Amino acid sequence: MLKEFLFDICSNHFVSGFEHINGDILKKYFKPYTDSFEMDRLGSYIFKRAGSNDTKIMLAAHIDEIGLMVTSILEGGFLSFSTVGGFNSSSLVAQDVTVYGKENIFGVIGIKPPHLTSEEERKKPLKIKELYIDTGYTKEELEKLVKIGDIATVNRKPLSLQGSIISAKAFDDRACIAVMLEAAKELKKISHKSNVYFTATAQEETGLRGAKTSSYKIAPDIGIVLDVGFGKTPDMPADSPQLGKGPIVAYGGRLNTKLTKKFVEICKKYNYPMQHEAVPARTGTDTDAVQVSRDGIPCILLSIPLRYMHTSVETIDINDLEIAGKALARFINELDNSDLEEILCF
Amino acid sequence: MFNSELMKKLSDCFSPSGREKKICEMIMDEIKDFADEITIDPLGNLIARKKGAGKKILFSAHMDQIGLIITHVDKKGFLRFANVGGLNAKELLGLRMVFLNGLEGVICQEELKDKETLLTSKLFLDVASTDEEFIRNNFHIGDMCVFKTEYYETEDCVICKAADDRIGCYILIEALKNHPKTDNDIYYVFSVQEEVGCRGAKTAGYTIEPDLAIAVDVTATGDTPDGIKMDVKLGGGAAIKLMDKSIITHTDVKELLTNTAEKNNIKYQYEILEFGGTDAGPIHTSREGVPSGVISIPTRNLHTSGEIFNKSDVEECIKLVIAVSK
Repeated sequence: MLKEFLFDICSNHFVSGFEHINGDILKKYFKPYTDSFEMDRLGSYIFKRAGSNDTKIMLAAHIDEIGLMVTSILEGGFLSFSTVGGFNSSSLVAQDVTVYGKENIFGVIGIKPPHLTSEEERKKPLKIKELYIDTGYTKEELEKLVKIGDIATVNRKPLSLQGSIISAKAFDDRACIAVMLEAAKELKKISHKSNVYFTATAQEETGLRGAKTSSYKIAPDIGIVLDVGFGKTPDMPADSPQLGKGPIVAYGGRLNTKLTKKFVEICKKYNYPMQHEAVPARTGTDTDAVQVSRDGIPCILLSIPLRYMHTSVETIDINDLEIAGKALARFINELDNSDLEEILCF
Repeated sequence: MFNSELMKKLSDCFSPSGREKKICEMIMDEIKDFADEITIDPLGNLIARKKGAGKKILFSAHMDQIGLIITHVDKKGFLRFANVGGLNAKELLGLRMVFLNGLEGVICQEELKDKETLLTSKLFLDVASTDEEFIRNNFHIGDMCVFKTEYYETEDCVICKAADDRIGCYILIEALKNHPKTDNDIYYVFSVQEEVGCRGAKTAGYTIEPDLAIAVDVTATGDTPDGIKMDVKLGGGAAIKLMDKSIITHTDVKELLTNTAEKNNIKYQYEILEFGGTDAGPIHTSREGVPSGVISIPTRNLHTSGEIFNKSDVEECIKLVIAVSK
């Protein structure tokens, strides 16, 4: 079920600033488990599950993905582009893309053949400015279909690797949208007291912008931010978080100590595996915006281990999503039965 | 017709970020007979309102300019300084600077060792005096200075300092003077401290809570020899921003600006700027978010003492601001 959701939603684009285009797909999945829906004015999706008390808990995962934006139409049917969010330029080479113009246009991003590349050129890192989308059209034909400012994404069909390992583009951060969906399913089974806001934030990749506006709108008592973390690959330190060993709990100045401790206690009590990371200052996630919204919001941050971040082959273990979603539902349920004021006071 | 006298006056007015008093008074004087209500908010933003019962629209152009702040004054008349806004050492060397009190200096460098890069810390301002008392009495830590350059224009273009963003102020003043008949509730904001982080716009956006916000500011061009790769050019009309580092223009706002320009025969071009931001950045994430965009004036040599823009582009920008207000 989570896999079906992920494969569906990752086959559609939600480039930062253009999250409204495919919103119906997202709504379809959340509707059965939530009571009402609204948006902030930047395009963040807020699905609410009403409770019986006044407490508001905001779950936040960003729906947007990195993408490309056409900056110029060149002779011979080539397109120059800029990036929306951060790309490693090497990850774009030899990819095929779709440009969302008047109609969807296929293109490829190539690179100069090795035979024609000097030793010196090979040493230099590639610049995005040196790459082009080749569409096969003439400039005149292309001008009728594409305008400056149109967006493009890399094409990638989601893949099932062995067991519970799957790979696709935009698992950053749709893996965590799936975590929210799992939590929503679990919460539907119990009569929780808090009001829970499942928030798919807009424009995280370009500066945590939707998190800022949606947290202002919701004005929650607690923020639970979900994002992806760096999963271990052979070139990383031995103690890096690994796929399949549960969500990563973050500790640091941006996170509320007591709330984080409570989450860890509950995971231990119900035998949910977890991993740990220290984030001394800036987290680089929506947490940084949610924490300082209005008069301050106590936050925890959970990350799903993911390999090859910001490429089209982001790889995760689907078990981590289920564990995180179930643990969060438990956490919310236990918070309902705790003295929240005690937990949130310093 | 381009009002050269007004633009010269705006460009020559001494008002670096955080010291916007003079420009604020000048603009206030210029617009006082045209606005229904004029306020100055706690940070110093000058807000002129044309009241209406309809949609609340905020236009913003920043009044401040880049400059230098004195960090140390020595007895011999050599002053050390730091940037107020984005300036780089290479472009400062040899320039004449002027203070609020009219005194001047020239930017010089220490002798550099081989291959040493030129940093602001290696520069100093020589205020042309050997009189210790004169120096002690006239120059202090915290004083600010700005470029001293003469306003110049040709038939179609202008060279001046602080076109960023006095040309935006000029556009809003002209738009306010020619305010159309409309139901909309329009706020013309002349903001402070944009060059140091769009600080005025942040508070103005919060206070006003608009339904739509449009910043009017300069943008770079790609039309100079071996310059940056960019489709914007002088004489290409008003630039409608699609993206920079502070905003991705809301799709509806992009459509609104484009359709308004087309319907009114206003010459426009699309702009994607791969660096920098404008007042629209903090305004569009204010409170629950504000659909926002930017009308840009294509300008060469940004953040130098000789910024160049085209007068016909300015006319197109004024027309677009007025048409959007309706």
